[in-house]
Amino acid sequence: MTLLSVAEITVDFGGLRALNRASLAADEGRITGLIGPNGAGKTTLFDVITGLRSATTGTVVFDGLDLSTLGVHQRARRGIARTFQRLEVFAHLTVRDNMQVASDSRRRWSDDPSASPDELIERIGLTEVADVVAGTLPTGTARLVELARALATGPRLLLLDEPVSGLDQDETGAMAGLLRDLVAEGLGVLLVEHDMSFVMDCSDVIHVLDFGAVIASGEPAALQTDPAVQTAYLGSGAGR
Amino acid sequence: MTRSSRIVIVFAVAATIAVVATNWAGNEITVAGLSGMLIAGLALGSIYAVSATGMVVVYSTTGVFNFAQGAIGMYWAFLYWELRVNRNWPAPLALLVVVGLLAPAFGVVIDRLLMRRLQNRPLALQLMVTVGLMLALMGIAAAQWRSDRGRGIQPFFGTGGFDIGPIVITYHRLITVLVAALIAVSLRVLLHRARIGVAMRAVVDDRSLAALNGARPGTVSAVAWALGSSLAAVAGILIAPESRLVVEVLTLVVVDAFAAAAVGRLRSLPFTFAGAILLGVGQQFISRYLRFEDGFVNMAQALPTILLFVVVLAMPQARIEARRIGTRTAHHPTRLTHPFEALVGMTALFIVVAAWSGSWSNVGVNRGVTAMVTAIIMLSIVPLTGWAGQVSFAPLAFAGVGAVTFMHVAGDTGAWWGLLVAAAVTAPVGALMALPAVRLQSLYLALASVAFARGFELLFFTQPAIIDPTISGRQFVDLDLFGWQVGGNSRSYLLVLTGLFGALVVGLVGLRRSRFGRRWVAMADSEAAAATLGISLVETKVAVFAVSAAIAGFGGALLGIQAGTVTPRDFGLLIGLPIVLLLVVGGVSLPAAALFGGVNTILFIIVKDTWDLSILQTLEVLGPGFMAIALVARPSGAVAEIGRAFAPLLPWRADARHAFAADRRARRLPEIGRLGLSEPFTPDAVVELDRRLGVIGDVTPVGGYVTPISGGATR
Amino acid sequence: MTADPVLELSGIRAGYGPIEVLHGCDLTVGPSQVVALLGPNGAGKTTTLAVASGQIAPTAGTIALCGRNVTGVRSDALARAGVCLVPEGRGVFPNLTVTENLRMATFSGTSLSEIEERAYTQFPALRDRRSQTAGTLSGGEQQMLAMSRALATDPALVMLDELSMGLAPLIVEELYGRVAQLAADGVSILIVEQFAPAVLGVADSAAIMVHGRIVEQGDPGDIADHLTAAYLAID
Repeated sequence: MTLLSVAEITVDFGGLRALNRASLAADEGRITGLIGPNGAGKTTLFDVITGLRSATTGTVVFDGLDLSTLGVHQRARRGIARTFQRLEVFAHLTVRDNMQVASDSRRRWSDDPSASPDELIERIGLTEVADVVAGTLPTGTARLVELARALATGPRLLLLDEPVSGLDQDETGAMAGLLRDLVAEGLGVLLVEHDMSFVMDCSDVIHVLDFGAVIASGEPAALQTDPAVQTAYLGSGAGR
Repeated sequence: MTRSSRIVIVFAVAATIAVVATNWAGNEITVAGLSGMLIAGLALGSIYAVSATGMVVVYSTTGVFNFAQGAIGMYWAFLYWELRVNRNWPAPLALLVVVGLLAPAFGVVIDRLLMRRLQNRPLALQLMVTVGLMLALMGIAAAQWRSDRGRGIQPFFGTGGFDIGPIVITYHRLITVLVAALIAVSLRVLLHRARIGVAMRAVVDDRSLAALNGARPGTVSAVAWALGSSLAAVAGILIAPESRLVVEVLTLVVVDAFAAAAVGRLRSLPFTFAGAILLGVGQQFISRYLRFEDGFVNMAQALPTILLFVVVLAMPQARIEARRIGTRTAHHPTRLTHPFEALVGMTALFIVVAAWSGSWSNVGVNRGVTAMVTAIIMLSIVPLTGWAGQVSFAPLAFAGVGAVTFMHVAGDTGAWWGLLVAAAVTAPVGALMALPAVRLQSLYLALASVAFARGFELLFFTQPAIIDPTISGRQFVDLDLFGWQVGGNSRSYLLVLTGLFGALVVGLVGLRRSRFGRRWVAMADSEAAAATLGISLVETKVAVFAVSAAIAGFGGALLGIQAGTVTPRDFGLLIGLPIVLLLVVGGVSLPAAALFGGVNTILFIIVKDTWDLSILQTLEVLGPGFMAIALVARPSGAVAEIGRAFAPLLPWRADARHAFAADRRARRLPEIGRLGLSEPFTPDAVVELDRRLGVIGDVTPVGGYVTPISGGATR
Repeated sequence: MTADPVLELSGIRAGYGPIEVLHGCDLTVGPSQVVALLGPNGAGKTTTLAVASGQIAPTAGTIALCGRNVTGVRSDALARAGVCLVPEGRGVFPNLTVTENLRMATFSGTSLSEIEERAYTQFPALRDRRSQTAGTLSGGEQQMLAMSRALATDPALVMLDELSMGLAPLIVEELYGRVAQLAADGVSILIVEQFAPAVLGVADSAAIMVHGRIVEQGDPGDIADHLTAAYLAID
């Protein structure tokens, strides 16, 4: 089922057009990849979906509801959670408290006893660092904390912004496994990542963003040989 | 302009018209009167413009907002007076030395020593250090020029002037307006024609690109600060004859400058000029054509704070910023105190005070009571600034609200529940103050708190219905604790206060570990992350302001019971600043720091009374000022530093011993000798480094262990 | 070659705050050499340039310019010493006029009149827009203005980041024409590009960067064949 549909989103920064009538959808129980060259507008799109930035035109519909008039926290309460490319862990709180903040927040809008912080800590593999202050963690671990924290709000859609950058190969593999488990439980995932083998491996469907517009969508294998995608990544004349 | 901004402006205009209509003094409007008002207003506005311009130039090129702008101008005005009047220097020479030589040199020096180290640091730290500079300058000036000597500073060319028809223009005002115009033109030339000026604008556009072009960032910020200091001097020297040569009056010109700069959104020089002129003319209009009764007599003085508040209200919503890389505090987060530890500590404090105070003289007990009351008011800042990261300079204004509330409900009976009413009434006042500013950047919130504190000082506490000036004698009787009367400067009141302080500390320690405390810290760490987890930022900020105000109101009521009487002057903006600073110096996130702050407050008084040195006369301002400046080097505060040093000695603090040992290991690193700066960083070295650090496997050491040794590497 | 390389990065580890992007990067640009640094986004190419230009101090490793160790030297000092980085996404000051932008380039030691003359000769379009603010120029003109600093200040090392980003192919071609000319004058150049074809014709040597390390360096022709695989993770 379609969980999120983004239609004709345009965002202008001053004279620069960061997103140009971008449209895409993300489904329940699937991983939707979002790739594109630097500056293509991927993080901006995440900001628009979560409400951190307002779009010049276009609509974001989540679970049949137009989100345009909702604030950031109200969107989160509908079930959208995200991580950040440039880490935004609560640096002065312990890993457990990072999760506790999210789960306290969830109690405001839901009685559903979803995964408790302790369960999540164990599931994501953070038991050893549970009482460590998050600001002192290495990048890879901090990314896992962000992921666990997002999950603690019991989201229906998870936006992941470069979840494996800074992770080593084993951790990347573990992350792929974890994501597959999560979608098997019905979570929808929208994934931005530069690690191509990870995206190609994980995603059920991929959208390619270039100059703020979606230039191609499809299954990973089909996209790898798509001339439009190769042009976007390699420039015109590629694949001569 | 957004719709809400438009509503605010329409509303402000309507309110202005209503106020003018109801308070019209009935003076006849004449050409001479009107033009006199315009000229005087223009002159006054020009001075504000000069001061505000200096602040805007510094803020936009260095990112440091200078609360000390007014104090810097005050100091140079005094020095000018010293040279011109006391030493009889010719005016041009005195001007040249002060404005052209000493002021810019001072700007360069504070840039080198302080301000450069504040760039990209947390806002709270920036503000505390510049406020510290402000207090230090006030203290130095007051000590250097004792108020027991007459001070008069003549306008340029005396009171002489000339007439154009019915209009009289004094030379001083003409000069003032011309100087402001000249400064506007020269700034324009400097910023557009001179290479350093172009570089300053380039820095505003894109700091790192300016460096890539080869512009020296140090020179740019030094020039900005030199310019800011000189402009402050010009403003101070011009305004001194118009007002009076009084430390506080000249320092508070900074509030007028804030309002003008806020009109220009802290960036635009033309709008800053426009705001300043509006302010000057508005003040002249009020004092010439309107008559305010009783509590509103300070309306003209309060105009900048009203303008500042309206501008803040009319500002469009700020985007929630993801945090900027590099703006984080580097210090390690301290371990959370356990409520039990706090309980033990506070019990020990109570026992010490109870046992020791028996041998104190009356003066000693008096000081102890002052320290405790101050400490309780300081506690209000801990959740607000220490945990939620919001800067407010208004705690004493909230204390005042609490005091007058108690006075009205229980001043004559001393009923204990009056304390709770004081807290309950002050809480929504705090929320109300925060509401317009929470959607903006924290800097505007800090400015709004200044406007609020100053506005309450001038317009609220002065109301006869709030504090009746005709009443003589005590407004507060002793506190009635179930039949036990305590108050004033008695030893029993000291013990009650110590108990209340201890209870509040234990409560706050518990609060920090509750979901509220966690949420506040989380919001301060990352607003973007907090919001995307479903936390309402507005709700959270308003809540923390309400809690903070309630504590301050509670403390204010206790202050009233100590003093017996209160006056509007007791809760002034300037009196409240040392309270904020001393807490931050202690360590703003630690409740225990309030005790440090309270004790320091009276230590200054004791030192002052013990040694009769002129520089110590103003120690209660100088001390907090210099201590706050020292935050540049030790931002986590004194109590945190002391705690870090002593915690390893406590038997149950194995974690502290561990951290201490890790720190020692990190300090030994330079022994490896090759940290990749003078020689290649070989894989062998990496392995060796990892071994010494105890890093296992292919983990990259992060968290500042491998820092470049060369000083040039710190950006 | 006996002369020291113009730029030599060895074992560079660097990143932003706690995020390490480069995990031991080695890269050399010889005298009068044009090196293309290619790779998928997120690989650390821009960070490499930030380190080489002194914007980010590496946590480990050394930077040498013409044999001199300059690790930890700040970017403004390197700029005055002749290192010219044209950053990604229009390296111009949008609120400054074209002339004022060129004026900023005079910190390198070249006089304004000289810079103006060279810039306007290379890009006549800019001459008519002298007093216009840079933010109002078209994307191509902005990039020309940004490149003027590289062309007119006689630097020892020029680094160009994503010159072609967001520009029409014709303009990209014109800009790379200037780069070739600069190379012919003997200036050492390091070019970061995602769009390989634009740059491979100009480069003497090319390197592929993936995950913060240089995985391959060599002849541009050989490198080109491996690019698609590196970018799109085709085995």
